Parts: sequence; C-alpha cells; structure tokens
Amino acid sequence: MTATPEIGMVVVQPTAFCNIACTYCYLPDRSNKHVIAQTTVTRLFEQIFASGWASSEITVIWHAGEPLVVPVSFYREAFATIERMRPASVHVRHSFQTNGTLIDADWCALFKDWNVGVGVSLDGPRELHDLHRKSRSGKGTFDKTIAGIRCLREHDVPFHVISVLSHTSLDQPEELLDFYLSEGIDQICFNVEESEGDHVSSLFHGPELRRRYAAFLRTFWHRARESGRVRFLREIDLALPRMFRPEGVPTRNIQTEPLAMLNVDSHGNVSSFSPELLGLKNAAYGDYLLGNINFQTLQEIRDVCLASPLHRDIAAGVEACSRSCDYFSVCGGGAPVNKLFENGSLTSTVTSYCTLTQMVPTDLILEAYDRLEHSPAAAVSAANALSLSVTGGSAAPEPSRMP
Amino acid sequence: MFKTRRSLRTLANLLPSGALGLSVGLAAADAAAGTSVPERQEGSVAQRLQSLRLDVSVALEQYRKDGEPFVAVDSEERLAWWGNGGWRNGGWRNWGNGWHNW
Repeated sequence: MTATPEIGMVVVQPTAFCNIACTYCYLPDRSNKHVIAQTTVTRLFEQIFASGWASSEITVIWHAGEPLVVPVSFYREAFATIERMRPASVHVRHSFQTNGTLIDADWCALFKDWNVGVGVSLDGPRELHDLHRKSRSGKGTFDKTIAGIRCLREHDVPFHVISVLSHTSLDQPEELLDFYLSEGIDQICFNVEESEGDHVSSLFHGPELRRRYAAFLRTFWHRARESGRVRFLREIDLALPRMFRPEGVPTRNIQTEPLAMLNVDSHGNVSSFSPELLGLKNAAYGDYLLGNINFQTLQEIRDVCLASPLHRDIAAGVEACSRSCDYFSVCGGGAPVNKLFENGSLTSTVTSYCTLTQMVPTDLILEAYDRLEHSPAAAVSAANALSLSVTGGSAAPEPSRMP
Repeated sequence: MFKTRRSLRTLANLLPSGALGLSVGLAAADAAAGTSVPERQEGSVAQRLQSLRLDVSVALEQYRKDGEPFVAVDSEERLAWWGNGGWRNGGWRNWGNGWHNW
C-alpha cells in the first residue's frame, strides 16, 4: 500500500529562459522564452489544495531558467491568486533561486511584501565567479550579481547564496569566507560542480575529490563558526538534525517520494522526484513526465506516477541503498537524477553526489562528536563556544525557510 | 550511558541551542583538537549514527525526568528551526534529503 502523498515542495519553472549562460548549466532549453500562464498557476494550486495532500507548509520555488526575467507584476498576480485559494491550514512560502543580475528596488519590494525566500547564485569573488558564470556574450556576471546582492542588503531583504565549487575554489575556503563576510553574506550553501543533463563535470569524478572537499568544508565550517558572523552553513547545519534525531524517528527523502516534490514547467508538464529531471529527454521514462496539470487532475497524475517505470526504478534504488549503505539513515536513498547521470541507472546506489552531500558532512560531524568524548579540551571548547554564541549575539534569528 | 560519557554531558548542553548551537559547539571542539588524527572509532558509520541517536534519546528522556525540557531554555524560533515544528510537535518530519539547488 503506497502512502498518501504529502506535497511539501512545489518547484515551478515560470520560464526555461535564462539571461546568462553559465558554462556548467545543465538545462537544455534555456533559450526558450515561453512563460507559464496565470491560468496554469491557478489550476496547479487549485489541484494541490483540493487534493488534500498539501503539507501544512509548502515551499514554492520559482526556479530554472532565471525566474526574474518574468516581470514583478506576474508574481504579484500569481501570489495573490494562490493566497486567495489557500486553505487556512496550509502555509505557503514563496522562494526564488536567481542569478541576482536583475534584482532592483521593485524586486526587493516584492520580496519584502511576500516574505519571499531569496537564494542568489554566486560562486565567490570575481575571479572565481566569472570563471563559469558568464553572460550570453561571454563576459563575467560578477558585477551585476554583486549589485543585486547589495540591493538586497540595502532593502534589508534576507537572502542566502549558493556557490558552485570548482577545482580552484576548493583550495580557497578562507578566501571565500573572507569574501562573504566582506559582502555581508551570512547564509551560505555549497554545490560541487556536478555532471547533469548536458553538462559533464571534469571535477566530479576525480579520485581526490572526497578528500579535497572534506578539507575544504572542515576549514570553512571551523572558520565560519569562529567568526560568529555566519548564521547558516547549509552543508553542516542541515546535516545536524538528520543525524541528531531521537532513535526511531524516520528520515524523509522528498526526492524519492511520489509527488512529495511537484515539479512543473512553463507548459504545465508535471514531474516529481529530482527537479532536474524536468525538461530532460528519456524514451524509457517518458521524458520523466507524469502528466500535464492543465489537462489532468493530481489524482490522475499520481496514478500515472505509481504505475510508472520511473517510480518503480527509483523505489528499487532506494531499497538497494537501504540494504547496502551505512549512511542510509541520514539521506534516505539518494538523489535519483545523480544516480541516473553518474551510474546510468536509477536502481543504482552510491554516487559522487552522495559522497559529497551526505557522507562528507556526516563523517565530519561524527568525527567532531567523537572528539567530545576523547578530548577534555574539545568538550570545554564546545561549551565555551556555545556560551559565547548565545551571549555574544552571533546566534541571530534562524532563516525562516524549509530545508 | 548518559551519565558516563563526557560527550553526552556536552550534548545535553548543546542540544537546547538548536542546530546553530550544535554547529558552533562541534566546530569549536573539532578545531580545538587541531590536526591530530582522531582515535579510530569502533563500529561502522551506521552503528555510530545509531549510537548517537540513542544518546539523543537518552538526553531527551533525562530532560523529561528532570522537568527541564528544551522549551524552558530556548526561543520559539530556534526550536522551530530544529525541525519544522520543533520538538514539542514531534518535529523532524521534514528533515529529509532536500533538494540542493535552491
């Protein structure tokens, strides 16, 4: 018996178009300027709210291509529509992942009016950022992105950054931290350049990557916490609750649960599981599509999903992970898109992505916890750091966002 | 186990501060140990994770017995951040393997 879906994250692609052309981008359709219709947004949320499957908190992520190429007025209308339909028991939080180049005062007003979560893609200082994040004419985008970030700060809009780590930046944790602090950036996430879709990473499969990334993350974590000026370091701070939970409380992996993540493109096509699958082609899996929200109900889409080879193989992969991986209780079965692109099969298990996003943080945290046991000095340091963080003001309000 | 292990005592102090406090405390402990190679731990990673969770359960039980739950010493915001609903709501539900590209 398959559990009732619990929709906690809706990834909406307002347009596939992106105004820049990063060298590591995996999106195949980023020159297509089609924009999602308001009627599609309305239909989507009518279906979600009517289904009874909405979680008490839904994060709506407007993402991929560049969501800010669509006018502010579009989102004001869409947000108002969703708000009118929203049951009182469901809280909806909108979120953007943007390259930041188009942020201005009007966008900041929207972000503040609707308490929008904002993530900006920024790879570090100019020399790192401009290596890969280029305009369509091939120039670096650093100046425009940093102008957007400064605009957010001027308008007191909270934001986080996602930085893609490359060969070069893996050797520069301290320089990266110094840069973030100089720009007032205090919520930080890292992705390691990976192979997905059209993009094949030269970095991702190197034998030394695990060791290099662990060294990077450990140094960055230590220095960031020592500074007292970083509120959120995703790689560690989201791993902690997955590890330090009471015995018997299960973990969740929304990338492997049918419809836990609902991913919708600008034409209303619906997918689930890893959002990166949306827009990719694969005959065996029907291009990863489960239906179209303009023409089908969510119940019909769910039925298609449960009967699909896509679901069957993802479930087999999770089962294989549960039997073979020491880290299963932390991650719950991996990321399907990475299994597919790294190993060629959704039924496979460990990937480089697993290694970096799950195993490395888990190992670092376990090691630190063990040091509490074996080193009196370490235990004293932990206690002192805690008292300083609480009394010294670095324990700022946490980001009000879902994991 | 709770009363005999140093790490448990420290854990009991760190848990009420939420993920941020735990992150700060563990980073400090790790940094204080410097570059020395940690003692090799017994058991697999899966066993160590299970042991850690038993530690958390023991700490929670101790708080309950002592009548000093986390809620008495921490802010609503920080509790909520521990797990979308916090301890008192039986949180953790949504702490899964989220999507990294946002």
